[in-house]
Amino acid sequence: MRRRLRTVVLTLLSVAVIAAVAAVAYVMATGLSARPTPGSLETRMARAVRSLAIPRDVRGRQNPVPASSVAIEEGLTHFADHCATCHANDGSGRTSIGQGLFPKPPDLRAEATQRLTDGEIFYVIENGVRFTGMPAFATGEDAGETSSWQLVRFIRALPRLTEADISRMESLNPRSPDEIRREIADEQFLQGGSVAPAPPAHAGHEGAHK
Amino acid sequence: MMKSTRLSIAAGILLLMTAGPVRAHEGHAHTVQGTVVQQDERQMQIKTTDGKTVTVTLNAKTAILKGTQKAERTALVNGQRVVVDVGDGKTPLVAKSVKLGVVESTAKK
Repeated sequence: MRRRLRTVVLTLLSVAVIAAVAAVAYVMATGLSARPTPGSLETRMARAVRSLAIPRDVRGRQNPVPASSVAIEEGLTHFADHCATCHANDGSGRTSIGQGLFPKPPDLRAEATQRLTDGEIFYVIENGVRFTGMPAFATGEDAGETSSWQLVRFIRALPRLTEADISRMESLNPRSPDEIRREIADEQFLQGGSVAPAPPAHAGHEGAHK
Repeated sequence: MMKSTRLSIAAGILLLMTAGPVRAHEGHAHTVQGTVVQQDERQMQIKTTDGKTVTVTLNAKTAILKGTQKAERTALVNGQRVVVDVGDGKTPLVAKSVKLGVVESTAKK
């Protein structure tokens, strides 16, 4: 009995040591850089774990916000303001901030997202995903939940987004003070005013000079 | 050391060559600000605010905007002040959107 206990303890210790060595090797090999894209095995495992983490009753929830152009428009506005910085207006995830995250935001138009249930997408919006760049947006209020369900409606509509929709979203994206100054200068120029010197730019970071 | 200096100088020259009417830099949407000199279905020539003339291609995806509203292609005329979003600013310049402004009275229409 004692010998058996010793074997179990030694085995557990060996596993712990191997896991610790693997973790240190991972840290040293990757430098914990956010630049690479996770491998397909890592992605599959992470998605499986995330799926496991979503409670079954939430997974099966139906969207209480009826499908309508108003709901999609509300979702579009919200997405442009809160989500597009990382996910891009078209949901591709191709923004400089999005591409700098680990893992990169998924292409929301692709099957991996579109095949999720409404409840699963809602859960991710409300609760975020730990160890990723996805924050939790839950406010604990009914209005906040309604916004999240409207976002679910909009995410379903992403594959059919038009150029006009994207242009409209661009006018709703958050702006830095520098961008606001440029917009004012552009507008003054368009209205016949004199040319104001453009504000200095900051090299290498995202931001539309419009 | 010498190699990196040469590279820096080359990069600096390249930067100066691309600066001017197309403002902004890597990672930004670039814009051209100026007055339309000539335009047809496929392209327009713009005299920029620093006196240079640049050619910008127009295509089916180009959005013509009056304020925040979409406008017809015919609303773009010679002598008009415009601010053009040329995406990444790589040549040939292709307009993603053209914001329309006032038409200067001295211009030929």
